[in-house]
Amino acid sequence: MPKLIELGLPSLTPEVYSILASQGIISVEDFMLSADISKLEAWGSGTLKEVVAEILHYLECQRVGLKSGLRGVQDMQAMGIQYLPTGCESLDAILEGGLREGTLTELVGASATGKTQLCMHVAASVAYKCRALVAYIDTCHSFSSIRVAHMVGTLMKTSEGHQGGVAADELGKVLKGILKFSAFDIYSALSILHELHASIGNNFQAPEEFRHLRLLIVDSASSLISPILGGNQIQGHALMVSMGAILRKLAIENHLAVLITNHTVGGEFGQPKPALGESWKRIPDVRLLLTHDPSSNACEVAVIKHSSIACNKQASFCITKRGLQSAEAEL
Amino acid sequence: MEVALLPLPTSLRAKLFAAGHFTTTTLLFLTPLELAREAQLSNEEALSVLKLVPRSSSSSSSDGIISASSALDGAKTAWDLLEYEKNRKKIVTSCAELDMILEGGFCPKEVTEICGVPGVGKTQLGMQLAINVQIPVKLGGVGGHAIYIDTEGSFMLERALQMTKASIDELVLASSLSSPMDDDLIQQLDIDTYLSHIYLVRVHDPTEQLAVINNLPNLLKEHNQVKLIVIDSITFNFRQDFEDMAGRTRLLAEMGQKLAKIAEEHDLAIVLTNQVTMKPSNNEISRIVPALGESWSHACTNRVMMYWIDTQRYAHVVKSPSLQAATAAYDIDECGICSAKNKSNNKSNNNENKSNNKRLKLDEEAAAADSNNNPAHFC
Repeated sequence: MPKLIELGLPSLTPEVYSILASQGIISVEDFMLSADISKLEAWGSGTLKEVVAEILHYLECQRVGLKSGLRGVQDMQAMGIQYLPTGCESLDAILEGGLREGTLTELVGASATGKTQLCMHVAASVAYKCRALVAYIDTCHSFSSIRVAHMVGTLMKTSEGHQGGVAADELGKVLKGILKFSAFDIYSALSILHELHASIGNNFQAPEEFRHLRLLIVDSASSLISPILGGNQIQGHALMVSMGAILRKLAIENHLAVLITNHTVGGEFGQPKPALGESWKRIPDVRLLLTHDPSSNACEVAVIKHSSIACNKQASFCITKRGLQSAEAEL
Repeated sequence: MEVALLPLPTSLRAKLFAAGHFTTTTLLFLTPLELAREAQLSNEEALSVLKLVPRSSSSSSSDGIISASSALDGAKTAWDLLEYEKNRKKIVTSCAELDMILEGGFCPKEVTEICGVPGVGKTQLGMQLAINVQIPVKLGGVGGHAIYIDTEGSFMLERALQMTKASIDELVLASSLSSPMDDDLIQQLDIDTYLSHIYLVRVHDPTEQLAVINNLPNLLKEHNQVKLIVIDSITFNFRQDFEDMAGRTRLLAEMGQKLAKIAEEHDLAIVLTNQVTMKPSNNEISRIVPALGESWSHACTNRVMMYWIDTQRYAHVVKSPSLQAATAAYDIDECGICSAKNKSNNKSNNNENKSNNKRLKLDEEAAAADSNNNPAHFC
């Protein structure tokens, strides 16, 4: 809770503030919890009464009002919530267009099933097709810009024929629209996320048309959390929950599409299940399970949780030298 | 931001909570002395707490420019990274086919894991890399030093000497063909220089291993030329005497993060070797998989699996963000790692190899733990 003096109310002069402070009321929290505001009013002079009334009025105004469903839909339309294309046709088809802004999508899969490849492909696709800034938090140094450049190149070729010089320019622009952060522990990741939240709307170092941040990728979220989870300590659990909270906050308040990755652990009957346990389960809105078939080199994506479309749909794509290609496109 | 999210020791956190500091906003306007008095900390502790409080969270939103100490400063655009990745030098393996599937060798800033059955050449490759990282810049190499963390006691100095000699001979031959050598280069291409630039650390138990890895940043301050760290093997100490398997997973995950951080910050390559284990699958055919479990497999950037087919050694890129899944054959001779020899061309060698391989295969059946101090690790 902020301090009272930070509210910047005109009547809250230093003298009044010192009187309040003498009663042990320094932060807004102290003010709201102090049971004897009426006593304070009676005790103080007339000005103090006004101040208390003003603070109370200010706090009233902070309250969030009720919103009808209709109003919610209108707001949503006004904001222009969109689906960000993943660049992989078969996946876009089952997700009704791609990753929805304002939701948190989780990719689950064992090692080497294509999670990072899909993340990089989504980053390339969103930066190129939506002309938006992409923030990519990399926790195990798996972001390969050469690979992303290949993917952007393929996307450019399939959409329209650019001339040589223009294509190089365009590639540079798109790649400058992807911002990579390195975080090797949860604390640095949390401070990056918090500062992203605080500084959205500010100028990032990116080309003019890419100023608008629309996609946040954390690859991989589970490798940040797994070292601190479990055992007798509860602190690790608290950190995991607050990581989930700030990710959701970024998604909902800033209308970002958030994409995170998670690994799998052996569940019942040797069936792989998402790691991080029950309390992480509620964090993502969408969960996609990736499996890889080494014999055919095909990656299967299955929707195992989705807040707005039916589950149990499947799509598949191949990881090729040029990027990701949906299985249908190959045929 | 909440105080609980700051990287603080539990005792300090409890003291801050007791003094009523639950969010960082209440800490923003305190001086270290005030905080020390209020929360009963030492002055140094109070200072360290206040250093952790993100200053920009309140200030940046008002003035619109991200302040200098912001956590967002670490950001790099993919374009900058592309420039870096195109120009970086890789550590070659001395086997052309292996270099080809790795697109030039082992990358700096990345953690690469080599897995394989005992005797397939993991340690040999590790030693070869520790030598090849020293190829002078003038000859197209990285020109760095190497730290070799040996947990199994399998680093053989005689063997390293042999491989160094062969490597230097080859370099001298190659460079003298193109241009005359200057004194500088002659001094660099010296066996003593080479061996003195491999810093060998022997660890005996998991605690020691963790301590060495935690201390690596200090070690790297002293030896800032280091461009490669080999840990052979990451597994050995963690495969025995561990009862708390969840605890082991945690320790390993933390170790993986630390290694990734060191690789990134000091711009060096980290190569780990890992043992393998049998995994029973549903259709009752057991598969050989890397040890340490599923969670660990996310810790490394790249993973290369080494295996035998009959008498030929193969390496396969299993996992990588930028490389294609590909296989290459390689051999190990007295000079170290080398390209696979065409077996039909030298039949006389072939028989000898076969008998060696048989011996090695017998070794495989012995447990991995017995592989200590076994000089028969190479052909």
